[in-house]
Amino acid sequence: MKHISRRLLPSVLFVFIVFALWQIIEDRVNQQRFEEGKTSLHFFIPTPLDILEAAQEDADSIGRALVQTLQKAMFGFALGALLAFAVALIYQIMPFVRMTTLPVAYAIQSFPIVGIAPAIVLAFGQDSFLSIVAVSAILTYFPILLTLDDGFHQVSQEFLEIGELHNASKLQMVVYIKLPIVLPRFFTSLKLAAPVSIVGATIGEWIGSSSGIGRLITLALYQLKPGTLYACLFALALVSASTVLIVSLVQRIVFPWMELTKPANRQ
Amino acid sequence: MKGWKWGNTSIPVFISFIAAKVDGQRGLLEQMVLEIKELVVKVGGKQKVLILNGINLSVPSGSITAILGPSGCGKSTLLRTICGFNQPTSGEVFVNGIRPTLARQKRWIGLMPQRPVLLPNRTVQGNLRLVLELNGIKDVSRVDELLDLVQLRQFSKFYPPHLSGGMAQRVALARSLITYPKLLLMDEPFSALDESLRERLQTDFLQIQRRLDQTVLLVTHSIEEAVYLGDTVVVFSSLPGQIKAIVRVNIPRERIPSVRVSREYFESVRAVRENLQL
Repeated sequence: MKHISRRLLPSVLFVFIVFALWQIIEDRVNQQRFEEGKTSLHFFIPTPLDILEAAQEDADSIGRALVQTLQKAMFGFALGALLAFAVALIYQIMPFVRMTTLPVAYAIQSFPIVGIAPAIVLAFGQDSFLSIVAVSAILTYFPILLTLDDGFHQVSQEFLEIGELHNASKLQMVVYIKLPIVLPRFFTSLKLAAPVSIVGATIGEWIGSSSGIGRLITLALYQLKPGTLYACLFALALVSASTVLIVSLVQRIVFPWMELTKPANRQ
Repeated sequence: MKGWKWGNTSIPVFISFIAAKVDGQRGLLEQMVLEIKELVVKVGGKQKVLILNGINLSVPSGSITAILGPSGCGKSTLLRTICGFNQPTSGEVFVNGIRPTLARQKRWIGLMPQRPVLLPNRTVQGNLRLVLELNGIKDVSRVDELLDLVQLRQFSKFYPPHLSGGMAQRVALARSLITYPKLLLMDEPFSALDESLRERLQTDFLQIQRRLDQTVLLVTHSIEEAVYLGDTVVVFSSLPGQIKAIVRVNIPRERIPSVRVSREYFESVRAVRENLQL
């Protein structure tokens, strides 16, 4: 823990300095605008103190919305990651499935999510838990699948020959040899996908839900509550960052050997 | 027709066994573990490239044959063909009398690659067990046996990143021997190590090879290594790989490090060098 806190200290300090500068500069600008008879910037860009105030005021609703969003994101993340993992394994065992569907996967991945989300909401119904989970799962699924698939194809020939020499079946080849080599990459993709799943859930809520942080952000926008809007954003950022930490922690506990393979830990 | 049996051994085999013992010298009656006849290998798609051309080679049981040649002379293709990963375009390969793919199924072929290629999620012990698991062998006592042989028993619980280059390569050697293969193929196994470590590992390897009476086909680009380890050095020409010369190494089989400064050693090195035309 001490190690982590020491590592985080510079970043925390940096953020604090940025916020302090933000506060000072905006206060200055606002004073000037006040003297010139112009509207204060508070209504468009809140200062950090405004945000803090709004966060305290709306703590309950922000907290509740955050939990709702996280629930959907977690389901979406788990669903997307599991599916991606399973499909990547199937690709290894049945190459023809890969040949047929992988180009499609690349094509779908390039669809803009703001375009897909309404289509999904339309399909699963407005204000349904499932539609938000689906948006989140789709956003999680493709990056994990493509990273895993790429990882499987990067396993060096020498490793494969060890398996081949000892008559490993296709399944054994994947489970015994390829998977251990690809697992660190899988975790990297999970770390990338965890915050993305929250983005997916938020976008889904934004378009088709009456609950969650996505909904709260739209409300804050229409009610002209910039403080709340920013507070929601920062809350989201904090939660997203912590999901990365959680994935790292799981990785360390379940697969301690991965720590050893990092270049910095090699002897 | 079935021959006479004495125990599980047929009479002709028994007689040849006695004859081989009487013969003493590795001569006509010695068994060839690897036999390659008129091997031609072309690889590639439409425009096939000739990699190996008309290779004839026999590796007698218990001996080390070193293949020496410039890089890109098809040495690795030869190993892949002996493993049965590549199919010969023409010609034949026999490992202990049978086709490579069949020999592979019988676990008769061991392979030690250039890099140790140890799985990161397994300990030293686990990496050795991998081969047993893949082959469905339940007897894990072999693991300790092999680790004793390469003097790494006390490191059995170590993960690969905690091993030095030399240790990792020894684990790879143990892994390649764990199925007690009839033929061990080595692809430039010591080339990634620094010189002093390489020499030490070569001597250790020789001891292990002598103890197991292991038949070895070693691919190397180092003349010194080929002469120090090999009973025979086969010199390859550059692409397409062809056998230029076969040099018998005239050094006593007890190869202690001091051999490296002996007259016989230098003579063999010179003979090989002349054939390589360096």
